[in-house]
Amino acid sequence: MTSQLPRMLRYGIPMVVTAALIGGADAMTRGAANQLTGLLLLACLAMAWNLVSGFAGQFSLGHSIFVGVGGYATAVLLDYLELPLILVVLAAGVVSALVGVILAYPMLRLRGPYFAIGTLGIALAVRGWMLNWDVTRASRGYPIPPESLLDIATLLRVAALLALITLVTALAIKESSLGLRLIALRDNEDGAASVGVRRVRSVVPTWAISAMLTGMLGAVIALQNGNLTPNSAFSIQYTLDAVVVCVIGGLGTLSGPLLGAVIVFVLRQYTADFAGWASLLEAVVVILVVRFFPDGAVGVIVRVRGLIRSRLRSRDAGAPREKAGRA
Amino acid sequence: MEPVIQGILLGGLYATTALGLSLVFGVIRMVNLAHGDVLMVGAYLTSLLVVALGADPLLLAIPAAVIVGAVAYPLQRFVLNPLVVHSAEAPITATFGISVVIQSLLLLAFTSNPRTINAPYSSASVEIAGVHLRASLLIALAAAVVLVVVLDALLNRTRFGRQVKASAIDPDAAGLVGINLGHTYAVVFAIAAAVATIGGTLIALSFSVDPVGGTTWLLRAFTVVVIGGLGSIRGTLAGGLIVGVVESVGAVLVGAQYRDVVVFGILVVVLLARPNGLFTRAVRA
Amino acid sequence: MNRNRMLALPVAVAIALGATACTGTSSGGSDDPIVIGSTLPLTGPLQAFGTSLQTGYQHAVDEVNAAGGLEIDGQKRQVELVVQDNASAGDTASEQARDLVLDKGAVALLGPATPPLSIPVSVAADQLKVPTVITITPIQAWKGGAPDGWKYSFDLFFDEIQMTDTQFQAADLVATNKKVALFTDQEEDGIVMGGLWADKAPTFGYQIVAHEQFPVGNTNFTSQVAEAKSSGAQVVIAQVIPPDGVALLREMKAQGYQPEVVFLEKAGDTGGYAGISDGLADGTLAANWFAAGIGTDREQEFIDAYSADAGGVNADLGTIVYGYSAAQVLLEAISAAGSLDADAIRDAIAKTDGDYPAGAIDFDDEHAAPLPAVQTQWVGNDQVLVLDGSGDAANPITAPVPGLG
Repeated sequence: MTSQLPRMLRYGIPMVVTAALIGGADAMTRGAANQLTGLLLLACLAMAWNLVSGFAGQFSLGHSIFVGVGGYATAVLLDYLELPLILVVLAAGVVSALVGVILAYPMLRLRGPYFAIGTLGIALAVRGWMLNWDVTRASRGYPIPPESLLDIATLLRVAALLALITLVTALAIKESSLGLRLIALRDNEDGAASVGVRRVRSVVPTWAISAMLTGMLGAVIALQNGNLTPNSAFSIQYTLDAVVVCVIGGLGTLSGPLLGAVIVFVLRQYTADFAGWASLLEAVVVILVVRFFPDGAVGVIVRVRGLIRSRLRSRDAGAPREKAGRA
Repeated sequence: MEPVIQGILLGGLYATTALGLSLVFGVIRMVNLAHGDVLMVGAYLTSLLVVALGADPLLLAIPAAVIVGAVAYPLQRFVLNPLVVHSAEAPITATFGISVVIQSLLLLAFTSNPRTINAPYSSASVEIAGVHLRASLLIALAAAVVLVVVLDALLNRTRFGRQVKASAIDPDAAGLVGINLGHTYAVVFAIAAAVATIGGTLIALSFSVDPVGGTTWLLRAFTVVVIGGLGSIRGTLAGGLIVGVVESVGAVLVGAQYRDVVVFGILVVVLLARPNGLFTRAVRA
Repeated sequence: MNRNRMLALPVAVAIALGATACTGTSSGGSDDPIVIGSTLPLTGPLQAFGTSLQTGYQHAVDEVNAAGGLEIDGQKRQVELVVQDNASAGDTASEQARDLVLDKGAVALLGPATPPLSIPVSVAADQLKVPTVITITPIQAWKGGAPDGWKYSFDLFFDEIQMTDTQFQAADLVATNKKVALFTDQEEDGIVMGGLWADKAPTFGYQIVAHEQFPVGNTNFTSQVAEAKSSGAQVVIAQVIPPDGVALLREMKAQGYQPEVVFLEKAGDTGGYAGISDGLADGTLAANWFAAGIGTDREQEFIDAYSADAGGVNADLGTIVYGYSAAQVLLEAISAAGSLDADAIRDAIAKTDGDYPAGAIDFDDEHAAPLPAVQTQWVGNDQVLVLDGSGDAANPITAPVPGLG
């Protein structure tokens, strides 16, 4: 039904691109590196969120928890230990995954809007707690030791690597049996149950993986900003960004978050001087997209390609029209 | 004992702010993530009318409610209705977008400074047996009771109300017997928005409102609705009182600095324990 | 149909974008203006500070440009102030600080207000090695953000340690029962100041009879006010953001609690606060950094120029004055250095020692220049000086607090 790129290319192209970015990090201007880093981190956030909210169909409004946990884990670890960068980011991811698992069992009993509101409630409760928790200096800022902060080129490399890891993970999930089970659950839960697909067994690992990736993202952001407060690290803005990017790009698809990240990032370059209007504009676009293009930019591209193809085919008389389907 | 009494008063306000959410969820099966922001919009609109016309805020809340309802009708009819049919997630995303739109607009139109509505009774209190009862909260409690009675009557004793209930119980059957579902949903949404306007006005009279304050009120209203039972108007009143008391007592026990944690913690606990509410007399499961 | 092939598309676009993303002007050309960047809270809760700082910064830049600009490597160049709005969010401030330096070619930065914004900017500045002057940020909180001290950032503002004396010094000027109720929020400065006040009260002969803490954004003060009132405190010191301040005052009025003096810190430093609170804040006191009669350089000139904009002689006006002074310090340092070398400018800033509209500025070894906090009382739209920088009485205090009567 669908012809697919050979596996080598599917994984290979992103790897080549990442290698190019890593190699070229020093060659480009610091300004360009900084911009690219921002784009890559936004894409990571969206792709990780998409695993739960798109693939698994559980609209999470609580992912800001993982960004914050990852960030604070990084700050605390570096405060007491001297660890190489990779270990710190990984450790932050693991802590975040653990938090995800703890939250999973209570949260994943909820569905749809309950899940959305439940996760939002937990996100705000966690932030409220962190504002009081003296272990992490409560509402006072938690600094990251200056010598651990990353310079612009290194940040780009780390962001590119993280983006690659996130993308490859998403690819792997989608192509594995886990991916199939998630789609089955999302589209028809009762039907899926009748063939033995257990919800908890499928959604919890996805949630944990998403939490880990988001936690690693939080670690990188912390290493970029150098100082954390509960309001900045657990900001709802991260949730907002994930929603906007994925909806505009195409929720639940593989390349949607990536495409959405590029679109939103470019859009923000033009609205940078009008921050208040930027939020408004993005939200209006989200509403329009949900209303008229529910599959996002990816859906638009697919439809356009389908139209072009059927035009081409009908020019060769007699050739059967291929139905445009959703992969 | 005093926190309990204060909690009951608060609960009246909470119930009023949650009625709209309950109605929409009970009938349209849609969780309106922008509900808290509609509360804020209502407050700002009434506040503008008060500044322009100088009359009593509670009086002006009524035309404000009508205006908000009039805007809400086409929003539901043409933007949200198609999404309700499409999937369960689409309205979540859309109302989330609407929430951001409202907050952005309010921020652009007004500053992020808090806004209050002032009236002779907004800072007044009544002292009974040594306990200070804020006048504005007493009014809110009264308003809650009145609104519950009115909405109850609307749903149970009017023809329109029967149509609404039919649409809630079985939308397909309702459509078959000639009920215009799209119109019914839109009217319900408009009523919910109008009630929210009154709720928002009461918030501004008792405390203050600001462009981004809607989110907290949304979560609180959701807690009220879940406790009281989705779609149950009378349950919302009970739910409001319960949340008010628990929050009040909780703040005294745990310390006011944990108030946020208490509020949202209650929500999460209730969601986990009884997602269908404590007083489930579900219009439909 | 091949959706997976589309992965290549956005990635390729990303690369193309990245390669051409540099939209900034490189400040290499000798005719290009010298870019000074500033990420400010032009919207959001800290909007009043942001817009006032922008006015002050721009005033200083305009003055320098009118006089021909700054002389760098033998050539006079104009100065351009590039401002971005961080909407009062700390991580946005970080990001914009980086953008301003890397994209817009800023050679120096002027800071935002308050620790949650200023500290991230200072971190970015030190990392990118860009000289930065900050104000409207209490010094101890700012120093706390850098365990090893700041390298390229400087702060000129009051020191909390001196500022937390002023409440007691002012309260001494009024007859009270010396009992104090504290209301502090859980932001960084609420905790720090709360601790300082609690420690100092006994040394001034005061007793803390109630200490209420609450999260930022709290609007329900019923139980806290009841407790404070029943403790009989005639002195109230509150560290709250403006919305919480309004809620607090309302609750106090509703419960009939009218202390002799109410210090509304942070909230009371918002221009027009008397209006926002609908008169409830009338007569409340607040620590301030500028007021009529403070005796600093060019005091009357700024009052005449800006009190209309600021709505009165109040904290907003003071913020304009401090913004102007911070910019002046930076511009003079660039001029003294005669080049755009970061270290040269930094060293020149460190050597600053003189009188400015904000007061006498002299940076210590930790790059901080403490300026004395004063106490002012809201009378209409003005904040009237009641305690000057040396701890002496100025205008008389009206007690009990009229707004709560």
